[in-house]
Amino acid sequence: MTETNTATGDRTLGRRIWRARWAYLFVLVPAVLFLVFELYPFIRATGYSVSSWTIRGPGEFVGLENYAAIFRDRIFWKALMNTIAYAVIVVGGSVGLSLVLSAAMYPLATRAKSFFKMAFYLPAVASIVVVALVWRWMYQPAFGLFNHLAAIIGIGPFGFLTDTSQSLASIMLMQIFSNPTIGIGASVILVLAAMNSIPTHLYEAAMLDGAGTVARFRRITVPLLRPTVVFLVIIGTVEAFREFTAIYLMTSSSSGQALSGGGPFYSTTTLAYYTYVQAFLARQVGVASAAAMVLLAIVFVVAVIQFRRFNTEIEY
Amino acid sequence: MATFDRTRPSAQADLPGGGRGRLRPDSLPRILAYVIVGSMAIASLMPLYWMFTTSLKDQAAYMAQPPEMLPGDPTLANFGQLFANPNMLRWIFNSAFVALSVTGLNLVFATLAGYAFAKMSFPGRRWMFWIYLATMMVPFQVTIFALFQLMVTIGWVNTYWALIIPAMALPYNVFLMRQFMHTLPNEILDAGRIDGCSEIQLVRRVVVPMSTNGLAVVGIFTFITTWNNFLWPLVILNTEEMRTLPIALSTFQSTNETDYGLLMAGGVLMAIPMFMIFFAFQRYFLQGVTFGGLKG
Amino acid sequence: MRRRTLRLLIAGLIPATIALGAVTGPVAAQDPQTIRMWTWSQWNGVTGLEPDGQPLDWWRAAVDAWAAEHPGVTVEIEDLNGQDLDINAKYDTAVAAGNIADLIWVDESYFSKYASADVLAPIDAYLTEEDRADFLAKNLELSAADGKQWFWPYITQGNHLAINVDLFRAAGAEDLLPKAPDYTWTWDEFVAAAKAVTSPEAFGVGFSTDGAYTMAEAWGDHLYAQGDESKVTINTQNTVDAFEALIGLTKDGTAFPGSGTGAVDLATNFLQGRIAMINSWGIINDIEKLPEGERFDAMLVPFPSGPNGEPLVWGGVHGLAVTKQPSAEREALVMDLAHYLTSFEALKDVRAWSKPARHSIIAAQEADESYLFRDFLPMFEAYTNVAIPLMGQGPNAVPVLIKYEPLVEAMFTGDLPPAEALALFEADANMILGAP
Repeated sequence: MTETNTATGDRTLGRRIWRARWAYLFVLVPAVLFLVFELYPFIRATGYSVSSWTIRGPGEFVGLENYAAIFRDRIFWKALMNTIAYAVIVVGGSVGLSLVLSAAMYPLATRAKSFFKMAFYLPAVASIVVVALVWRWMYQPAFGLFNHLAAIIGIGPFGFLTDTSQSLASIMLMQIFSNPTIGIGASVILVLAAMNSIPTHLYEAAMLDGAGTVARFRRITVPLLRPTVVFLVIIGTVEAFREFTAIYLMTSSSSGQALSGGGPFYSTTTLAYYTYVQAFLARQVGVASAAAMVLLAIVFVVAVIQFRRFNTEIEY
Repeated sequence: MATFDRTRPSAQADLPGGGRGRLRPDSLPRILAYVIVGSMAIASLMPLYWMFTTSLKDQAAYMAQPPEMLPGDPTLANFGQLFANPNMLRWIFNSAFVALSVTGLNLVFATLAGYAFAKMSFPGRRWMFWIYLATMMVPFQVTIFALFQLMVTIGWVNTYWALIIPAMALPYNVFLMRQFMHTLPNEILDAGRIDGCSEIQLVRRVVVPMSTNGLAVVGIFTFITTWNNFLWPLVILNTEEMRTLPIALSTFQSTNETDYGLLMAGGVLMAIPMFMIFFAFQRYFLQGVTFGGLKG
Repeated sequence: MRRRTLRLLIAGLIPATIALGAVTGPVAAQDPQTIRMWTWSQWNGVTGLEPDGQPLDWWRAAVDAWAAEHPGVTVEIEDLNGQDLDINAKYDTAVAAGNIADLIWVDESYFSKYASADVLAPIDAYLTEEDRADFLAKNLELSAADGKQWFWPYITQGNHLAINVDLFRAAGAEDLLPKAPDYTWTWDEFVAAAKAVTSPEAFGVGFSTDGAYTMAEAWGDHLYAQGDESKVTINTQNTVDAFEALIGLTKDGTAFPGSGTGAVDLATNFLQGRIAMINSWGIINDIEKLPEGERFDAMLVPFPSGPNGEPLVWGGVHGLAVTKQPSAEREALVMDLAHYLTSFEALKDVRAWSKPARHSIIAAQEADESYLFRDFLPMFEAYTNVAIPLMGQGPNAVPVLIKYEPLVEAMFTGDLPPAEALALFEADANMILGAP
């Protein structure tokens, strides 16, 4: 299906639009939804980000002051660092682990494979509300499951969510195992399917040439998995930058009337969480919108960079 | 670019012995593989197992030290207590109604749009698709507050409308269907057009029947994500009767005490339909996850 | 399923959605005879003692009683409890959208922001002389700003220590606990008790972040110079000492791991007998709801006092505020409802631990010999007079607190020494307050 670019006779723009009227009808609903529920709020949010905020809504225009405020805020920078670390480790860890697991699973019997696929994917199907809570429970320093197991092995006890050097890592671990989009659940399935569709004759030929298992893996499997891995990395990074709910559920205090989460001491505050705190706790919606814009810019830049760098085989 | 072979999903089953490096049953690498994968599988399932067993424990048991791996004295009291809440049935209805509606609507509109982007040429197709894709990237935090204000203005706060309409045609589904539609052979579509089929008829008679896999995938994914959706319902619903299950569940965690047994029972209640769907439609699931990835 | 059936199902869903989508939950009331109310519950059930009481039971019962006298008026109650979005945000959003409820729950730290933004209606005109005498003086003081009263006090607040007496008995340390009538004790007595009761199965004390800074304030230096909220003055040697003492408890194993960081579930652990003392607002009610075999004897006491010897209670008041109404008649109507809901008549039968805001209700509870928490009433009365609104009452109370908590957490995770954390906090807070 090629698009014509000449505009002669039957191919004037008007004519083409008329001939394609069905197509426009088909995309009508998503287009309208996009305009009303994405574009319009986006434009308003941009407006918020350059306005002050009163109790009754957006105030007057203040230029880039909100942006200046967040760049001055040391917590913003901490959130940025946390977000980058989070994205890199969760995506890297998840993709890496999925590759290892897929490679290990691949030669196993179909029954076993199905069982394992189910085992990895199932947590993604359960609601994050409960999954996060269960993990939080297991992470409890006293009387929690993990420290109990650690004691059996003879290590620990660990602070996990109560220790600023471990809290983010604890959440990362949970995400690697349980997140529906960026966890190993979906990734393993994707990688396995990709491995499945590598033509067998390549392996046969390589075997005939005398290549061993590892060599076959390195020379055939890995390169042909590239598009899948690239996809996982890009989608994963975007998702990781947006993550909010899990951090919120894992770190908001359930005792007393503490007004913050993302703790302790901002150790698990990511940019998305920072935006939440600004908007809903500190009630600085203008600042929150500015922070969200910064987040968007980062996501966009990162996605474009990744896309460009790795875009050898992704077809439009 | 590897193509996805729909007719022979596991081609390697045909090969004798070691076509893809299949390991011999008792070899060490095979055992190692089982150990690695097995331990990760246990780690993956552990939280779910914990959720199930805690839902069957009473308060004393779930705080037991050392933690009880098997409920010593299983009880269904937590589930009983769940349903003692007068709103529970309403909550289940809310979640189910919203999930079914959103799924149904997505099946219709995402299919049409996906088909249009994949198989129909029209001016603006390229940039429209890219903009659309870009919206998938925009973090919710950017739009959520303004979106809420919009809802207030049009009077949709705390309504089913607010949960259903904005999600009628999710970009992810349009993307998925488009990828899927790419695999449909053009010849059949062209033949239909030559025969004088209108586009609508083409879609109804030809495209949809050939797309059952894709439809199943979109349907299942949409249902599950809508069922589990947390943030937007949290923001937009503000009466108890309108709440969906995840929100209702999170309210069991009060400032004074979290009744873990009750919460886990609620979690089990929410998860069981999802698990059932997963097991019933496993094939589509597993295919579905791959569609986005293989075609990039 | 068959394709045809599937298609029919989908086709049917669309009109069904459109039809049902128009079904709404209760939305902004256009009806002048509907009153919308946002509140939450301190206890479940009507009296607080029903085993399967639900959170809104009391509110509904009270509202029904009032509505019986006012035919034609409907009251819609929404439960804020469990709303994870901060109540502040909910109110702000509603104010911005112009659809805030008619009657809203507030406490001493929330209200002044809305009062000064002209969102609330002052209640002075509706407060009778009898009311002014009956409400606890402190509550009226804490709910006032600019010389006006802004909300109807409903419950006196207090953060104190809840103690599992059974654990102390088991450790033979019961006599280390504070004594009637006002149960005050010093820091050293408190530490001695905590250490005596610590065992491999139970920790002596557990505290949340707000518990930590409340206890620290008991040493004598307050967040704001007493009564003046223009500047934060907490960075003193006393406070540093207080925090270091608390940190010491976490290091020597007396305090539940994770205390001060806000990342652990104190309440559940306390109810299971894993911690002997925790800071709490109302966990006493939950003890009563435990199954027979797990209930334990409990008591409530103020936090221990520091070197200056004064007991500290973090006090506050919860109440109902009336938002500005379009007409005088409507204002009178909503005020009447608020008045009723905070009156002796509506609250006299409550037997949960509720810390009443009226002398008359306290008297009724004292007179009731079956009242489970009768023993705590003297303590409660003693401390209401010295209670300090920890978060402050001014419009900046909440933003300042948001800065405080993470820095307190940092002290307990070991990331910052107390002196440094307090210095950082003072700088941040005073910037918010615009103080020199």
